[in-house]
Amino acid sequence: MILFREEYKKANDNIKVDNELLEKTLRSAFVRPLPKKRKFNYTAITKVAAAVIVAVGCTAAYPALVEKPEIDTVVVNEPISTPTEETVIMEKEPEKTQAIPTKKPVRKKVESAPVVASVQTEIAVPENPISRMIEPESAIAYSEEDFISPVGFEQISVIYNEDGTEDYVYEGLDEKIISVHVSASEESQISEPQWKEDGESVGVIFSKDGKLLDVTAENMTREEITDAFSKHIQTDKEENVE
Amino acid sequence: MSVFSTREFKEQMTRKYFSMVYKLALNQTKNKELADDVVQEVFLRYIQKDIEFESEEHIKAWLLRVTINCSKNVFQDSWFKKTEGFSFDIPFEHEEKSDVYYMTLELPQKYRSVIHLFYYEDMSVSEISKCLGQKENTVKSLLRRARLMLKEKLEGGYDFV
Repeated sequence: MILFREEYKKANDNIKVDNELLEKTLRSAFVRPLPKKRKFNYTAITKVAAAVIVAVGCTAAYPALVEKPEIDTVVVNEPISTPTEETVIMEKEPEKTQAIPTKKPVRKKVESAPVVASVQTEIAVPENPISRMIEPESAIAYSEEDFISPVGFEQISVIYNEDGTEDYVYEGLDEKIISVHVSASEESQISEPQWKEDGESVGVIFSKDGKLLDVTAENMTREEITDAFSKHIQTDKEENVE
Repeated sequence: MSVFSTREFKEQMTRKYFSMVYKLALNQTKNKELADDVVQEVFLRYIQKDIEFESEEHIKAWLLRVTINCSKNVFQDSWFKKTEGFSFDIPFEHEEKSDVYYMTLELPQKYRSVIHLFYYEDMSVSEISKCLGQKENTVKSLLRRARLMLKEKLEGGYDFV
């Protein structure tokens, strides 16, 4: 049995290191004087200021996002200007009784305490140009242009690999990142989520017209990835039913 | 000024880790010209930026991580995307007859990096995890998958100890 480690080390030790490049790098790096340490970290100050502005803006905009409270009517007692019979009677016998002004109920509109409406955060679902029936245990037929992003995730970058494969990097709720690796020339077959031995990181494989998707969830638990992709399948089903 | 920030120390570290960074850059870019650019970028940043390092191990981990990031940036460059890309070009001292290195280069970038750090730099899973800023379980998963892919590609029995 050949040891992979030994063979791999031999091959790397066989690589010719360019010493001219080393000297050239040192020369160019040290020709420019090292930057002087600034008194203030302007980058950090700018970032903090930007964060404060965003926070203030969000706080100011929050009331507009909350549902307008309903206006209730409340009975408010107010003294009336015109005397009633009772007051007239009272005035005739001032020594016996004290004039007590009667009050006529007046309806006045009063705003009730603001109702705290529940703010629904919608999961940003990317537009899905396809509507096809998807069976979890059968092959999916997608075309290359019709790749569906996982529900609840937004694509933030694409890494084009030299071997023709692509890595789509998504950011989801709670800033969790997953990367979807699209490789060519694989068999098409959907499989159930494949759980690794450690029980935490997950590989989910979808089929796609000869393309295999391999999702490595780096910051998600098993329940989270299952939930995200089950919603993904369910969303497609519902669209097709409609 | 700490000892890690002196010019002499930085030059010493550059000479010491130049080969390590160069071979990792080659592993990531698979091309000498691109690897040259990456290596220069890494050490320019190391020498010219005023970074507070705690130890030499910290410097080594920083160099490895920046090398991988700079290599990724090469492929994300818009000019690179529009061109046909660079050809496969590894400068060997003698002709490399073993398939092991070439099959490793066929793996996707994220698998190549963990294979290289584990099998050539002799780093543990824990060290790789800290270096790359990934969970240990993620590193284990990447290693396991990489080994499976290599087993399929390589003919003959290989022991991945």
